[in-house]
Amino acid sequence: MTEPTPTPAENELLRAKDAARQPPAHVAGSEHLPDDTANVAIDDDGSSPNHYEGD
Amino acid sequence: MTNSMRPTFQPQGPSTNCVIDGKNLGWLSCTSYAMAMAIDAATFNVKTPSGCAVRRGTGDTVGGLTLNQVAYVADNVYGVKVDVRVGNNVVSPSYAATQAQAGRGLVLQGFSGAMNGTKFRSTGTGVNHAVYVNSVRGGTSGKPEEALVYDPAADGRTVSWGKADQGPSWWPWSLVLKFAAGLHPWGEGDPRVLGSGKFYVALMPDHEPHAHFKFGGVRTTPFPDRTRASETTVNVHASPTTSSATVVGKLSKGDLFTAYQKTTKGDLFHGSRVWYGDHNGTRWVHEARLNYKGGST
Repeated sequence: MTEPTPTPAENELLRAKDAARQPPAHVAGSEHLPDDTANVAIDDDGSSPNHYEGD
Repeated sequence: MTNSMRPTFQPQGPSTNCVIDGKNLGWLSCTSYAMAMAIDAATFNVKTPSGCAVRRGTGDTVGGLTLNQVAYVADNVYGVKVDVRVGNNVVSPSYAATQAQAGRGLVLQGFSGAMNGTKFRSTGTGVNHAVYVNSVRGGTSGKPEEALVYDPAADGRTVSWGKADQGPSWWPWSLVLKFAAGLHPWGEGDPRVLGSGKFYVALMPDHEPHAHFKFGGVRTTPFPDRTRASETTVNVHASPTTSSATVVGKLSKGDLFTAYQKTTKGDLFHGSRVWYGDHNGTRWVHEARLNYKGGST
């Protein structure tokens, strides 16, 4: 049995998947960046960071 | 591509949206809410944890969360392998874009002040923040035109500074770049920012539905189609044939069979040649043995 001809959209996706198989290159200047960056509290109205009063 | 799986949008707020050990953590949990939506899409809507459940899995109830913390929960609790790229292991924006173009979701950290002054604003003052990028469209390889962003703070609320966006929204890719570049990697108290050319990102598995069509198989509708075994014992065959020699497994009544393709060229059984196949086209069940075809279960 043969597979059906891919649609143009499927062809586009296959090309993207081929391109994405390349391993990521090292990014210059990243040597001293921290690993543990966390998000912080959303301080919606300038109130205390841990107490949202906006809604 | 725009036909990828999409999660259900989850707002992180208000603060009482996530209460653990008596602590109101909603507004502290954007990274876990972004990851929860990423897990939803990565599992084709099968595993749908709340952002609070992901937060609970980290065991951390103080402050914000890191990508490594929520990636650990994705892997160990929900079985979703995540590639975390932070610190000296960051990736370039163009690399992340090619991954998104190939069907991978991104949990991206950045600075919410990037959205101020745009219709995508979701916070008052700018803070370190996290969003889920489900898919991209347009543009060229490595440089899409737009991204479908699930910002957990974009809940449509009206506050003193105006009205927050209601996610998900299609952001210009340029805004995604600005958001990522504005991250304060050493925390809010440190004025240094990440800058352009780098993404602090968790790369999710491919969530683009596709199938390897065999035996004249064509896409199911919906795609994939979550069906259920209709009999006490249902044979699963390696091909759409009735021979006992091709039986490769059994389903019990009610078991899930996720079909990606169906063919009308299988062996005749109960007056029909219609069989349903899996993602790889290596497991087939006759239509007479399945319920809930063509719908959601």
